[in-house]
Amino acid sequence: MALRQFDDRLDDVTRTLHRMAHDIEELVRRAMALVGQPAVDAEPIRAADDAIDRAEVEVEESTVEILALHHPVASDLRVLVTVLKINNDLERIGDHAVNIAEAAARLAKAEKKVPVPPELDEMSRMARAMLRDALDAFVHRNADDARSVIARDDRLDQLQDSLSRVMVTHMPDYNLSACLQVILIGRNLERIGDLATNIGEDVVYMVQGITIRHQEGPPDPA
Amino acid sequence: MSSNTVLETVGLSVRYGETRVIDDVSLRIPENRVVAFIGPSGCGKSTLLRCFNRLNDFVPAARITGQVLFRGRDLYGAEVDPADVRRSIGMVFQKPNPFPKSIFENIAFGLRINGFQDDIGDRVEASLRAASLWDEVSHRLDADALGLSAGQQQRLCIARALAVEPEVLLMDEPASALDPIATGRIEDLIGDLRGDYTIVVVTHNMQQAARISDDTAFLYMGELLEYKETQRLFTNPEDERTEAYITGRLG
Repeated sequence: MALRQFDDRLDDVTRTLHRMAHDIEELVRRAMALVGQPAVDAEPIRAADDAIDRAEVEVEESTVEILALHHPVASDLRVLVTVLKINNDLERIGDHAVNIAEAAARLAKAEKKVPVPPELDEMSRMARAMLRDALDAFVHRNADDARSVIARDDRLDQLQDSLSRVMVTHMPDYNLSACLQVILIGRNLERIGDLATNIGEDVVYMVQGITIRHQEGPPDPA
Repeated sequence: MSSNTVLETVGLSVRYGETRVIDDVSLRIPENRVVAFIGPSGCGKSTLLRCFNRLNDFVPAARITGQVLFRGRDLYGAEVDPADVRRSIGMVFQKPNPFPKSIFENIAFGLRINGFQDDIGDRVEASLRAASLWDEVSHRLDADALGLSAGQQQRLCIARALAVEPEVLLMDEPASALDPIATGRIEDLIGDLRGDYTIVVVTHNMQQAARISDDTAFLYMGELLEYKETQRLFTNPEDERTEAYITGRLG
């Protein structure tokens, strides 16, 4: 294997993925900033997501090419498999950002306004931090940091439950559709947390070669 | 020892003069598995392979300590005839080495000197079929074996080894002198023989080890550093030196 060439290409693809993650986190932040605004245009979010979709294809093509040309094994192989999976997860997070922007647009058009509950803000901060930390764990190949991302997912799920309960309670007093939009936004943030959790699980596999998906709790690495 | 262990080394060390080339290696090779030995040049993988059919007997400076067991029996015991060992444990070398005789005689010769007298023609055909060569040579069994392509010559050598009904086939870089198509045929053949024979392959080609073997042993400077299922060794090696070697980062 031409090692320097392999390492350079792996670095390139890793950098692209990290940049993509940064752009997506920013996209989620921008989409969330639309929530509760009186007039919302979701189009810029859609356009930014299109760019992310193109980056996803680029990362996938580069990774497949590296696999075909260099036949990596062991940790090199695990890194590239992880790149493919994270790439897929990031693209889906971009889609959730678009969903959030579109829900914010429908919310803006609702006749009777609903107060945006504080859970939504906290969920947004948490989901974005999980995404950022999962990608940092990937870049630094740190399984402990990846596990800490996974551990935070339960809290996000609790916030989503609490948000749904609050909104259902409000439904008789406010516009039903508006309440549903808020629940939907929460649901998208919760899914972003799930995808960040997937990334964390993939990073544990990449670093330690063990699969912790579909288990109750992360097992002891020993 | 588990009942299905065919070959086993116990604390095996080999010295060539003052140089220790195998250092206290203990491993078991189970029945009907394909086991690959990998490692950098000079790591001792070929020497270890040669211990299994006493080929190191021909190296005057080689001194062996520890044990090599075949079906639980010491291969180096005083009562053991090396010729018997080599009949049960056949060897295929890196460079095809057919005899300068006809295709038929290449196989029949070995059969006769090993005491087979009946059904020589049938045995030749069965061996050529087992080595996936029959269809290519059945119409010209009297032709000179040296006129075959390198890949065909290597399959002829495998047929020759199979003819005397060994339990184990040792292969020392069996495809390294062959082009990719001939290599693919040898690898397919190893796949076909799997289940009927225990096969130990030394290879420099790690992709080949990954493709053809059930288990892989990594040797480094005479030591056995890691030995496990091939799939696990190539996806998640435990020893840092194994990882470094298979990813091309050793040294």
